[in-house]
Amino acid sequence: MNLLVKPTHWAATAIALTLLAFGFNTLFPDFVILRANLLVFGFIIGLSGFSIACAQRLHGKTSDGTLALTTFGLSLSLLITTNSMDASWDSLILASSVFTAVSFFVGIFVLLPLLAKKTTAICFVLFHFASIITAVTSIEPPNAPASWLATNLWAYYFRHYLTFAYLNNAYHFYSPEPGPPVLLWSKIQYEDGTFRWFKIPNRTESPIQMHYQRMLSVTESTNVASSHSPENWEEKLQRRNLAGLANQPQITPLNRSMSQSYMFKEPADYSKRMLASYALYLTKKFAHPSDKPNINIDNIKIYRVTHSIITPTDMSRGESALDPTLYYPYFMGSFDKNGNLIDPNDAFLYFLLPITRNANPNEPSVLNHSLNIHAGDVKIVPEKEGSNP
Amino acid sequence: MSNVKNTIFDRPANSSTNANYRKTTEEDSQGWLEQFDKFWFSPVAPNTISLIRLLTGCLIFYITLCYSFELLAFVGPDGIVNQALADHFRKDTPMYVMAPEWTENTIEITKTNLSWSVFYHVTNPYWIWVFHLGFLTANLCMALGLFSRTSTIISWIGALAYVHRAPSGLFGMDAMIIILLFYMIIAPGGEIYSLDHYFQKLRRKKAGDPKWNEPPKPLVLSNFVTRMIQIHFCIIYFAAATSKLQGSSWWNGTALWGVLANYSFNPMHISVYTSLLVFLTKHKVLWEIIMTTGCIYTIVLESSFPFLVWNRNLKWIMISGSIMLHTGIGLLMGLTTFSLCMITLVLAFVPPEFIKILIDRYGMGPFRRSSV
Repeated sequence: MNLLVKPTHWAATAIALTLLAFGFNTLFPDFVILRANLLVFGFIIGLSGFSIACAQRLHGKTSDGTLALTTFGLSLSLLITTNSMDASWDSLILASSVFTAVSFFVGIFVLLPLLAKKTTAICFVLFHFASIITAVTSIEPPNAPASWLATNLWAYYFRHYLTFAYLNNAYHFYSPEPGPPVLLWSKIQYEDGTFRWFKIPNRTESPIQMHYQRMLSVTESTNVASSHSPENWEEKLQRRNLAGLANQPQITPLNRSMSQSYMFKEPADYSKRMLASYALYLTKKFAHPSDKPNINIDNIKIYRVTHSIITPTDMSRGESALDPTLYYPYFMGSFDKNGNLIDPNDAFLYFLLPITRNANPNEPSVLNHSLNIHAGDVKIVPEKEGSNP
Repeated sequence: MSNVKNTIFDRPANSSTNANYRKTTEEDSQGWLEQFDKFWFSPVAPNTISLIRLLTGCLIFYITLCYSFELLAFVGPDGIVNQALADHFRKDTPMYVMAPEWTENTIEITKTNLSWSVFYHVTNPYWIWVFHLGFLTANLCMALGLFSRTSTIISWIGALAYVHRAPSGLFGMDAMIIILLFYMIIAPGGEIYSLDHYFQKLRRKKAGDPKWNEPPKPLVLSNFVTRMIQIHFCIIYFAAATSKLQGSSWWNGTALWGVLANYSFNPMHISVYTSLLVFLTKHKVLWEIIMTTGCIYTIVLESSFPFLVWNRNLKWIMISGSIMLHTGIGLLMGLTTFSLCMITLVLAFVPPEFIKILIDRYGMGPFRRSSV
C-alpha cells in the first residue's frame, strides 16, 4: 500500500516536524523563520492526514480507530505547535490551543457509539444556533436598550465562540432605515504650501468594485457616534460661531434652532482611533508631493461627509444627486505627520461646515461652501467626484 | 397532491425520497423523534454540498484576490488600521454588560477579545505576500476540489486572518463568506464536482473496478451540514425582516428609494440608471407602486421564507424569490459578491437530484459523470 495513503504516517510526520520546531525553539530560539516554516508545514501535513482519514472513513476504507488515531496525532502536533511559538504570537497560540482542543474532541467523537454521536451533534447544533440568536438579539433596537438576557448570554457564554469564528453578525441589513453613505475627504497639506485632496470611496481610483466597497466600509468605521453629550454645549457652539465669523471669508454660523446632533457629531473612541490611524496611513501613502521628494507633510485635515440621498421631489425637478448642498461635512480634526490630533480644542472640531445656497430666488445662485473656506481652498464650487471639492 | 400534509421536518434537501410523494403518509405516521432523526441524520447525495463547496471556493478566491490590489493597506503594519491600533482593539478594548440589578450600572467584563490572525504577527511585507499567495493557492485548490478538506480548512483560516486583522474594511459579504466556509470545513464537499473525485475515478478505472463510474454514495454528513446552512439562512432572513420592520421607511414604502438613490452604492454614474430614476420620479403613481411593491416584496419574502420554504409546494417559489431578490441587489447596488454568497447559501435548499440532473446535462470537463 502506498505510504502516502496511510493517514497515520502523515500524522507522525506532522508530529516529527513540530517536535523539530520545538527543539529549535528550545535550543536556537533566534531561528524564527525556520521554526515558523516547520510549524506551518507540520500543520498542513497533519491536516492532510486528517483529511485523508476522513475521506477514507466516508468511503468505508478505514476504521473509526484509524481516523481517531490520526485526529489525536493532529491534536498532539497542534499541542506541540502551541508550545513552540514565541509569546508574542499570542493570537496564533490562542488559535492553536483551540484547534488542539477541537481536534482532540473530534478524536473522541469518532469513537463514540452512534446514539452518543447523534446526541453530541445535536448539542453542537443547539449551542451554535443559540449563540447566533444571541448575536442577532443583543443589538439595541431604536431608542431602547438591548435585551438584558441576550446581551448577558452573549457576553458570558457565546462571545468567545462567535468572535473566534466571526459569526457575530446581527444581519440587520438596511435597517431600521437605509441611511446615507459617509465619505472621508482629506486635505494633505505639504510644508511648501502645496496640497492634495484624497477622497474615499472613489470609483475612479478603486481598481475594482470590491475595493470600492471596502473603502466605503472604512468610512463607516469612522461613523460610530459618541454616546455622551458634549460638555459646555452652549460655550462650544458660541466658540464655533465666533471662529466662523472671525474667519476670512466667513464660515456660516450654525443656528441654535438646529438640533445638536445635526450640528455636532463627535465620534466614539473607536472612530477617533480609526481616524488617527487613517491619518497616519495617509502620511505614509502621500509622504511627499509627487515631484518633490524632499518636502514633507505639514498637516492633514480630515472631513467626514454625509452624502444625503436626493429626495424624489428634487430629482423630479431635475436636481442632481451630486448637488453640493446634499453634502454635510463635519471637521474631524487636523493631524500631524505622526497621526496625532494637532488641536483637540479646535473651535470647529466635530462641527458641521454647511454647504448652502442663498435662499433668495431673485438673486443669482451663490454657493456658500464652508468646507472649502475652512480647508483654505481657493475654489468655491465643488467639482465632480474624484477631483478636488 | 394538494392535500399532502407537511411538517417542519419535511425534507427539502433530501435525496431520492424527496420526490416520492407517496412516502409522505408513511412519514406522517412516524413519531416526532423519528422525523427529527431523519431530518438531521438521513443520508443524502453530496451533490448540493459539493456544488456549494465549488462556488464558495470560487468566491473566496475572488475575495482574497481582490485584497491583492492594496494588500498592505488592509493587513500591513502601516495600513488603514495600523499595528498598534489592531493590537489595541484586541487587547485593550473594554467590554461592558448591564448589571444584574435594577440599575443603569454596567460591568466591565473583559478588555480582550478572541480575534486571531497571522497578520497580527507577520509584519514584513515579503512574508505578508507569501502568506497571501499561500491562502490564494488554498482558495484555488478549494474551488477545484483538490485536497478538498485541507484546502477548505486553510481557506477558512485565511479568510479569518483578513477579517480579524482588517475590521475597518468589512461588510455583509465577509460575514456571508465566513458562514459558507465555516460549514464547508465540516462538509464532505470534495465528494463530487472536484478533482479529488475525478482522480479517484481515474484510479478506480485503472485498477479495473467495474463500479468506477458510480455516483458518490449518500452521506449523513451531507445532510447534516445542509440542514445547518438551511437553518442559518432562515435565521438571517428572519433577522433581516424583523429588523427592517423597526423602521418607518419600510412601512411607508420609501425605504427602497433610500437604497436605489444612494449615490455611493448604486450605479448612478451610469446615465441609463439615473434616467430611469428620473423617469420614475416624474411619474409619482408609478414611483409609489414600484417603491411600495419593492418594500413589500422584500419584507414578505424575508419574513415568510423561514416558514414557507419547508413546504414542498412553496419551496421553489421561495427559492426563486430569494434568487430574484439577490440578483436585483447584485445588479442595482453593486453588491455582486454579497449577492452571489447569498445565492450560494440558498442553494442549500435545492435537492441534490436537481443539481445532479442539471450538471449531468450541462456540466463540462471533470464535472460530468462520464468524464473519465
